[in-house]
Amino acid sequence: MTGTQVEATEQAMMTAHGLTKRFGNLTAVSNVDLELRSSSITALIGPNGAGKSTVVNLLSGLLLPSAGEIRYAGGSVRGMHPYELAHLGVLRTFQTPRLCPGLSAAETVTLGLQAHDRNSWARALFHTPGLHKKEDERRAEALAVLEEIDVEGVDVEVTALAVGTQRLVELARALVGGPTVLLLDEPGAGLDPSESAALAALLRKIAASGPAVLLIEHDMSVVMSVADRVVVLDHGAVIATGTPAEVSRNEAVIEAYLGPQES
Amino acid sequence: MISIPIALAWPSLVDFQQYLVSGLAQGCIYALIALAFVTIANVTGVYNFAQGQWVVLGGFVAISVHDGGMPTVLVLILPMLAVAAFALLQERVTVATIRGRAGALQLVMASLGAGVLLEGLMLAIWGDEQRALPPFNAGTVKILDASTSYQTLWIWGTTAVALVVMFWLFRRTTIGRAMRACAINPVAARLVGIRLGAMSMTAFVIGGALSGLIGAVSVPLTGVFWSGGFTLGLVGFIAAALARFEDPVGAVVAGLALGLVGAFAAGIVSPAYSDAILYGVLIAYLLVRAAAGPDGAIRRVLHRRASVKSRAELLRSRVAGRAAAIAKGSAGAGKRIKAPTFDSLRHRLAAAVIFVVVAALVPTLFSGEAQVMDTAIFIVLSAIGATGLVLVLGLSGQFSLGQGAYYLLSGYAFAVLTSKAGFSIIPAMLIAIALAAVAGAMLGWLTIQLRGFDLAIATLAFHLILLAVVVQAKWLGGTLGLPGVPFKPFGIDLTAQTHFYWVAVGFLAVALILAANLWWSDLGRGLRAIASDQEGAESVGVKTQRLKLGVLAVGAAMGGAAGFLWVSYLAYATPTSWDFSLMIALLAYVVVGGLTSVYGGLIGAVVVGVLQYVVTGSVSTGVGTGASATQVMINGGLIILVIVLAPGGLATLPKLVRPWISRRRAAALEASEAASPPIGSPQ
Repeated sequence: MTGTQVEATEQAMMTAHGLTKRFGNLTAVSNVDLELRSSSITALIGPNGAGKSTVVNLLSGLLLPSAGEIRYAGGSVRGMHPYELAHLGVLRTFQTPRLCPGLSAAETVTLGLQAHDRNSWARALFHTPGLHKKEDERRAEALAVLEEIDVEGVDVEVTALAVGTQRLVELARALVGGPTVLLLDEPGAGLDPSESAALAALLRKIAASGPAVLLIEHDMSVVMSVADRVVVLDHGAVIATGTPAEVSRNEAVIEAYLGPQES
Repeated sequence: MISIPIALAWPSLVDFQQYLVSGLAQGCIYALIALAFVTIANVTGVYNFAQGQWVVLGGFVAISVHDGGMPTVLVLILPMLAVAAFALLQERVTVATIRGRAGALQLVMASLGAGVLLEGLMLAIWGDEQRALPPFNAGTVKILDASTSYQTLWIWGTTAVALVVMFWLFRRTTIGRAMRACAINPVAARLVGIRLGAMSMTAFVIGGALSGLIGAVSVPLTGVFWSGGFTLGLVGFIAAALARFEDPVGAVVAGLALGLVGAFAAGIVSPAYSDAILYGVLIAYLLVRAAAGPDGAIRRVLHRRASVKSRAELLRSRVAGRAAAIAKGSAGAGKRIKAPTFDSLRHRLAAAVIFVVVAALVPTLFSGEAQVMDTAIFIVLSAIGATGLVLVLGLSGQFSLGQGAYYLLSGYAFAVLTSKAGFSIIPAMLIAIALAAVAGAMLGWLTIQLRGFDLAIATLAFHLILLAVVVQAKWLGGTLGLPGVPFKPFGIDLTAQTHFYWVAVGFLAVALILAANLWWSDLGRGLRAIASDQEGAESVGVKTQRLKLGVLAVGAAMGGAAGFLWVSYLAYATPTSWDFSLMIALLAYVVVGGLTSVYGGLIGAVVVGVLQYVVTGSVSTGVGTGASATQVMINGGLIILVIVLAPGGLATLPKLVRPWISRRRAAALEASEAASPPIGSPQ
């Protein structure tokens, strides 16, 4: 896929304007402007404690901004609950995977599916045939997605899986919700180089299918290879925005992020 | 302007000072209990629900010491030593044995077991009557315009001294710093060489000594009764919870505030309603505290007002905007895949057969014995209510303790409808159960923001308010209660024990089937996700509020079913049937049985009930008045025993035993192989 083709189909799915979050005296996120476009990957980078995860928590509705506006497809999503945003297609993963112990990988993905369905209490309490049919369908779909992203051990309890696999299961759980905005908080942490490369390919494939992806990532090779745009945060504020190439030449970024004259 | 009902009179200045003085005295007692509570919770992570009983023990020991003619110094010191000794024993038996193996709820229940056991001991030693001491110094003293006994000064003085000593201990001494280190980060504390076990023992001894002191100083003013500890401990716990279990100063302030609110409520409104008002204020405070804050519900609602229009539009257009991230169903197309999430049919059939056989055995073997049948019916009713509680506590992880309140609501509704409003049995039953379910959902809606112990306190407080109101309501018969009508649906007389037993078993079967269905359904999966991580589940799109309200309604309906059956069987609704002790008994059932199994409530009710009957010849909730000392001790001992042996409850026993058996088998096999090594084996 070439850059020009992406440009043609891109539209701003989610935008943040003047986004600010204060915890007591600490300003974790300060006046951040952000635009997430469909079919493209925006990398959010910055040193530890720069406020990256807080941005994701704000965009996904877990936290309420102290100031600023978040819009989705042009409409304000102020104060929406995380589950409402999820139903709009704003889905996310967490820095440390937050999976439900006791559920298998397949069930975890099924949870992501059922969250977008109409679930009937009568069906659940009386175990009607409709429930079994629905559950079988969901399982088929969950297995298909897990196969697509190469997760093995679908019936293994999730917390028994390797952390890298847990991240993939969490990603699958988000994908089955039909994301229009996908917020990924360090999906590549702790992966070896070959796994990183596989992840990069997967991310490109996901982005190509439509959603706007926000990627928090420390591995600069992954950022350089997949990101369409890079936003650099430092001390909660945006210090640079641009293509990976532009950002990597930016003096302020080199200073703040890569460290002054190291290596 | 605040409008005040005419019945209420604003206090005169003298009255005001009187309330202030007595409120501060009561508040000091609460504050010290809360301080002891926080000390232990902080250092060990144990929420000690024997705290109130410790204070009562201190009071009793003080009385015995005084009756023995010993000087006042010993009246203060010996209770401290006695309670410290009990505290140490409790730590060794119920905390040290399960450290690291049990969750917060198990530790709470183990301490509750220790408290119940202690109550039984005190009942055996000091008897079933209210005891008190004369004040240490006779006469009254005037403070401002209020007159009070010298004992009030003793309490204030003791509080001041205890606070100074405690803060000196924790701020200025090495052992105090070590204990604080345990509280802040146990792992790091261990790494720098602090021994957790020693610190835990120290904290219990300090908490025990403090409790003994409170008991000794307060007994001349308040008196003691063997079962008075729970409410005392509850208020201390509430004060500690208001301070979020970590802030000793906050706990002391909260304790004082609770004492003052109680005294003013008693003085201005009525002593009968003072508890209800106290708990009402408490619920309001917890709700406001949870909803306030930069990410709280209040701010969210304000934010939402601005986006009301776009929200509706966006949600409507959501389907249009959604893209399929990954080609769906390509791998699964054509294949029929069976979802394995449901428990197998075989497992279900086996459970059903065992259930029916065991249920049928009881009337076959004991049809003539009224006592046994009474016990059996009581156990079945308990199992119905406990099954509902397992869904709420175990499946959805909500610390919602309103189950006793739903018993009460449904029981009274049934009694009123049948005996006063002339309803026939079936509609009255349906209305009573529906009322419980609606109450469950409504209480759930009100407390949706609360989690953990805040939720537990608010729901318990709701129960206690309801109790206070019912006891005062003349048209509900006050403390005497209401008669129900004989249980004869469709003109069929089911009042005979065996008949009623089968009715109850039928209800239990329905409750269990519904519970198991929910447990192994898609909604059950959603509830489990909420139990493990509510925010995580919400981010996936799980509608946590709706699911929580639903499971609360289902659980409450089961409590309601048990409540109306209770009234049907005894043909009477009394407030004492459904007081605080019922909730404790239900908690004991589900913890003994296990919260990880849908059958946990049933197993717990059967085991506790049968053991109680075998040992004492009758069954009761085992706390509060009317129970024998042995019975009370059995209850406490049993809870401790089960938690120490199987922290996850009896339902987890198969899992605990299986590896042990296979190890034994492997060892036996190895031994036999070693005895006769196979010839030519390449070893």
